[in-house]
Amino acid sequence: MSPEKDNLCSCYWPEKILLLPDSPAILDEITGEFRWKNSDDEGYIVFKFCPKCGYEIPKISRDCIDGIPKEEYIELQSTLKNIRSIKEMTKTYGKPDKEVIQMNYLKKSETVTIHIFKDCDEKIEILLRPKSADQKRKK
Amino acid sequence: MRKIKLPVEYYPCKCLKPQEYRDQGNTCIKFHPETGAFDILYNDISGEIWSRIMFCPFCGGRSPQGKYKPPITRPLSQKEKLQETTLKQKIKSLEDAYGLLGEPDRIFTQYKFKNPSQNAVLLACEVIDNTQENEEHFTVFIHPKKT
Repeated sequence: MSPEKDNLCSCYWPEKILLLPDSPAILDEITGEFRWKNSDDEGYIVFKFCPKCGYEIPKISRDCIDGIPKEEYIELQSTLKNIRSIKEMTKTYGKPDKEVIQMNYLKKSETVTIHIFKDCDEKIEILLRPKSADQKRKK
Repeated sequence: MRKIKLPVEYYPCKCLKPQEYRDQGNTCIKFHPETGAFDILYNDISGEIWSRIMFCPFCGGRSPQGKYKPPITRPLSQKEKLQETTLKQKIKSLEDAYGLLGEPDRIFTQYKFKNPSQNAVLLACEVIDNTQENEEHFTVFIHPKKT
């Protein structure tokens, strides 16, 4: 089954939802419907199209999530489940291989916002972006 | 390869089902009061998520995008260009930025873990928003390794 050929969702958002621990959705085995349970467990709604890419949700569960085998994806998800900070993440996976920082100054100027980037090579980049009318009002 | 519907393929959602399900109250379809757009509300491994509906899940049409406006692309004025050049000359490190401009309003930090498993990489994003009483967000995304 080729998503490109069949006009099927290729962003895998529906599969990512299905694999969540205590997922709110199921793929019905008989009808192939993607069913999202209601919050009071009274019924469900059926999604036909992916809300992220706009293409059809496949009726059969795919074995890989964007090239990552399902089992590997689930394993990673379960490790990440209780991680809430970079400190906790570093304890599990060691130091990150890359770190990129962006600092935004939104109120220093009436007409522009200031953005400062530091990439993994310690290189600093500075960008000024014009403010929208809404941003000007918010100041 | 990932694909997303392009503007030429858009047709506006006219099925009214998102509105209907939002009004029902017990479905995952919600109306976000701040953005003025339809969202799907659920919990993922990072906590509660309000995920924007870009395309209607029922008819595939382009969903109303609320108050979102694309960023302005006007060129910088001469004065702003000069301001940018001056900042580039004075700021050579993040410490310089703190010294000259003070505490930023928002700080985004992205961490990449290249080898958490055989086929995936992890991208962790930390956001500190000083405009919202020092609100902090931490989210991790699982992505495929690029071959």
